[in-house]
Amino acid sequence: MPSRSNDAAETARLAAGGLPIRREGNMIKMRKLKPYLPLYLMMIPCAAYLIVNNYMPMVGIISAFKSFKVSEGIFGSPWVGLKNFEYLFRSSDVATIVRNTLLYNGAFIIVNNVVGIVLAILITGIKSDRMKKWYQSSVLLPFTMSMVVISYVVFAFLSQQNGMLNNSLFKNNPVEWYNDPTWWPLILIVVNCWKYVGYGTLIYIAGISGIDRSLYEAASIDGAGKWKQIRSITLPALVPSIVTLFLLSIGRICYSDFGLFYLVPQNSGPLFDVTATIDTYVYGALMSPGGIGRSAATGLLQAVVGFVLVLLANAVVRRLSSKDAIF
Amino acid sequence: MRESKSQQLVFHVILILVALAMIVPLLLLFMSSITDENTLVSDGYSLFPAKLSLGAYTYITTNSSTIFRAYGITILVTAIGTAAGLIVTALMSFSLSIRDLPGQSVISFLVFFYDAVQRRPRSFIHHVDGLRRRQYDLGVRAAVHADQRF
Repeated sequence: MPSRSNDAAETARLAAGGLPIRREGNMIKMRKLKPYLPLYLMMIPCAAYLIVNNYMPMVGIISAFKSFKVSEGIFGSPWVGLKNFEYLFRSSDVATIVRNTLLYNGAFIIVNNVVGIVLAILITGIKSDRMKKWYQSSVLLPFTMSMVVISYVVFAFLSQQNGMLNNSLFKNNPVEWYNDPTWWPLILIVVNCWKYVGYGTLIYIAGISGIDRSLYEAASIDGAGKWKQIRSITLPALVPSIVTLFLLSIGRICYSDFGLFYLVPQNSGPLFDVTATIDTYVYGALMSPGGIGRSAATGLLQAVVGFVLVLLANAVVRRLSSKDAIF
Repeated sequence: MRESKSQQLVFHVILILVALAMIVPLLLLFMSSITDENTLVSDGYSLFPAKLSLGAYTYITTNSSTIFRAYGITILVTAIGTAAGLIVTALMSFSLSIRDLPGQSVISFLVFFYDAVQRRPRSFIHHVDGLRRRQYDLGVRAAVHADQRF
């Protein structure tokens, strides 16, 4: 990077090399942009898409502060200030839904990453390449299914009359799965892991494949057992991937997978305490009058909290090991 | 990490169980689609149904218009969406990968800011991984260079 240099000869040399010099005044900067014109032109489609699809709708954030009436639209609806947020925090269910959302997301992060790393170590430890491909594909298979279909698969397992579990393992004392909230945290964690673990596993496999083989040979010559090798070589090499995935998950900690929490429990009443999350609550509130304003308020809160958490977590990571931070 | 036969056996067994756990629910779905409807009501969903029938599939083919149209829309959206997304993203990524581009960090932030706080930041992961691998490559090359100097 050219530093702040006032030496004329060096300026001329750098200018001849085509590097942009930002601190030498506007005229030189404008001239130096010309070589980059094709690149700027290439950015136009994506920039247009982002402006129209992502940045222009940000104007709609003000509907979080309005009592939205469909007939008046966003700009015509009456302004209510923070009333929508008050409604959210005053509701009796807010403790339940926030607790559920945060705890489930925490459990998902931990379980998915641990299982992903274990599977990655197992798969990269296999000698046969053909079997490796089979295992990788089978782990990725559930990821391709839509949550709607998965909710029916779970129903096929757990349905009280017709479900596979109640007709085989529990034939003599059938369990009322959809009326009993005790097992549902486990069920939801298992279903979420089943669907999403393949993605993390793939990233970890790529990370492990990048490790130099000679490190393992050197370690085994030095007398390290398998466990020690995994702890000292494999896991530290995976730290960048783990940190990246963790930082991204932190940003989404206020969001929940709507299909998982609304469709899989089949919207069953007795399960509300263990399956209600912020998103399902907002969905329920949408139907009531003024609900759109409340949903917008909740969405704004989720996004702001997620953003702040990502920045904080990124700052912490940058303090600890700067090359692993995302920005 | 790949030597002993018994270790390989253990790995294979565990992975086969995991692969089965991933596939059996889908198998259940398929088996219940070819089960006869009365057996479904009386015996429930099972991997080994008493009576098979293709009733569900004949139902689809007779009431086909909605389902085929739905599939058509899905395929169209996926094909055009993926192709267009690939082109747009590739153009933008190439421009952003030029380190000397004026305003590169600002534009990078604006583009990926959205990805980082969205619900499905898949493309962001690939970008970050790519950047990191590039930094690693450059670092390794610099180290090798330094070594060769001395």
